[in-house]
Amino acid sequence: MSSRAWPQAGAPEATGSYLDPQCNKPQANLVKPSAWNNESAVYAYNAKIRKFNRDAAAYSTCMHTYIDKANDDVKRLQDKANADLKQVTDRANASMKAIEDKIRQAVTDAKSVNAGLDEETAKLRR
Amino acid sequence: MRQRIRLAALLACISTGAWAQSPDALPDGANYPEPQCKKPQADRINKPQTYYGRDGFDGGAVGSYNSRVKAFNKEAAAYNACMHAYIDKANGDVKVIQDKANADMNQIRERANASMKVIQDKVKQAVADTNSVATALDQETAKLRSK
Repeated sequence: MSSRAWPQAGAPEATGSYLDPQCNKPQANLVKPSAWNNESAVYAYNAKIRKFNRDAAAYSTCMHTYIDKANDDVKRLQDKANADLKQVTDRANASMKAIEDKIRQAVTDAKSVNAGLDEETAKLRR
Repeated sequence: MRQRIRLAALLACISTGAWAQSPDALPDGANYPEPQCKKPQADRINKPQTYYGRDGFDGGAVGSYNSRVKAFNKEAAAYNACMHAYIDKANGDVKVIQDKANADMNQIRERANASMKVIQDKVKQAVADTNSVATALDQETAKLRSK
């Protein structure tokens, strides 16, 4: 049984697909005694059982490794998406604030022309 | 004599080309241009130098003052239009940035959700496969016990 889970994939978000686990499944239906009254048959059966148990343990380890890795990849994707969302939000907010500040300044400037004109008009009235 | 300077037309554009920007480029907030609008100078409209002589009213001084007022009003209207155009454009650019950010965020969410679903489906399948081995073993054990 292969104890290695699977070859390391690239960034899972880049592929749109994800590798299946590369773990050899132990076949329980092959572990059958040929006879119960024969010592060598029982010995052979016991050997099959031990091998099955080793294979099952290796399979379990392999699948757990696969599942842990897959869960880590999900978390990586989630963290990356959150970081990207934050970056987009921060950049957009900074850009919008810069432009909104210019708009506020433009409104202030326009009002100052109005105020200057009022002052000049007041002078003329005196 | 005292011609009132009208306040209605205040803001306009002497330079109508506000700034150059390629149509597809996202507005750059960090280097956003200032308005290129020439401010009209109200203080250049000096008080008219008039007097009442033997002939009465000094028409020359009044005419000169009136033309300064007219010129000012024209500049004020241009400044008004220019500043309004700037502000409208800037508000439009804010919306462009906001819309682009929303579209980018939707894309990030959709891609991440799709990728995560692919992996989560594989995890579910792996768990089912692992459980099936235990089930098969139980079945084989039960068969042996029944013999």
